[in-house]
Amino acid sequence: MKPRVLIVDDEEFLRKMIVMGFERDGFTVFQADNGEDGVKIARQELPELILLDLVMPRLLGFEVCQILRNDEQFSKTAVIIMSAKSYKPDMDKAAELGADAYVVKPFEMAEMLKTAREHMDKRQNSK
Amino acid sequence: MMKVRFWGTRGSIATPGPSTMRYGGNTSCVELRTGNHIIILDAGTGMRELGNSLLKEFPSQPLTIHVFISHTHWDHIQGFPFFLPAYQPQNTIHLYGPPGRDKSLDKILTIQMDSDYFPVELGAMSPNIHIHEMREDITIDDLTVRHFYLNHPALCLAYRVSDGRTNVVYATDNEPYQGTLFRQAQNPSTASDFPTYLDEKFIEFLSQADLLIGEAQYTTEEYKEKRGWGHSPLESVVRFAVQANVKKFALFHHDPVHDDDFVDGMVQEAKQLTGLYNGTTECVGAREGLEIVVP
Repeated sequence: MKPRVLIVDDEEFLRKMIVMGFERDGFTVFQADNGEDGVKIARQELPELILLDLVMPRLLGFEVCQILRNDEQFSKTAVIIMSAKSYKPDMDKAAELGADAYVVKPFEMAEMLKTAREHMDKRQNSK
Repeated sequence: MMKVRFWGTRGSIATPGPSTMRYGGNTSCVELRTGNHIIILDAGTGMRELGNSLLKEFPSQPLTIHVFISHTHWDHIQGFPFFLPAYQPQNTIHLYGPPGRDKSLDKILTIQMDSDYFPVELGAMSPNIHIHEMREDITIDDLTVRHFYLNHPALCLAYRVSDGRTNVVYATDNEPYQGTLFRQAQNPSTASDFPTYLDEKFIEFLSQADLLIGEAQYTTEEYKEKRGWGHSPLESVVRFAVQANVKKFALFHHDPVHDDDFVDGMVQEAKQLTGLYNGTTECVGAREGLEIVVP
């Protein structure tokens, strides 16, 4: 079965690029352009991986991460926060909220895919 | 027409004393009046004197005041507990701002007034205090207030207040992405123009503003040592203002180590830079008590 990823980012151009990258790598991709829709789609589709932009309309990436990590059904889901903000307090808070990784934009798609697969494996193999 | 008055122009921490007499030592707080609206941009320590002035002007008339908080670092919220109009039950105060990373705006403002930090709790203020997290642009009668997330080590917003004709932008505590993403930008195999693309979105937000209240925290020289602290070198703020065709730029959020003479020098430098970039933006130093009428 194809791995499933949800990409939540309000930046349309960037989101499309990331979608293409994951589709090429064999993922089934779902997408949303704001945090609130991201949570809805996550609950409907229960993907193994969720990529969250940090600053988004309605719900921020941190808030979505917090919601997901407080929901038992996402305990095996890897969550990656991605942002052009490269400040340490943002990275520390992402880790504290249970994000598996914080990736600074712009990133190499190959590196993102590698990071994503590593964290998906870790989550899937966790007890 | 909008009337802007500065009550606190300092960044980071209040700096009273003889060396800051002219530009002032209070932290960020700006009053904007248009029609019957009372808008306040940030709630730094300058807010205390603003509150006293409002009480003098409106001793008994019920007021509706809209306060827009850029972010919840101390220099932008510490004046609120000392803002006396917020204690009068006839007044309605709407507070807007971004949420924290894992706390609501309401919670952060409540914690600031916890009894370990302050003798009066938020709940003891007027019952008509309404706290709103900025999730979308808002309309107050004939005014629209747009928001834009800045590049700062906190969730931080710029605001653009418009009556459809006059536009004032309040944008402090912002670092150009060309500064923080420079390592990525130097890597030719990545999207090297991505930081520029992000900074252009900011310039778009400033576009054609009649007044930009923008930060002047660092000189270009100082910025070399302060990269990643969430503030701008003067050069980039002036360049963005010129590119956005801003009419007037008020240098604001003065660094606590900058005395009055130093700020004078930065205003001069801003004017020279404007000329260098072939701009027409007028540069002024924001000082406590300065009033700017924006036609």
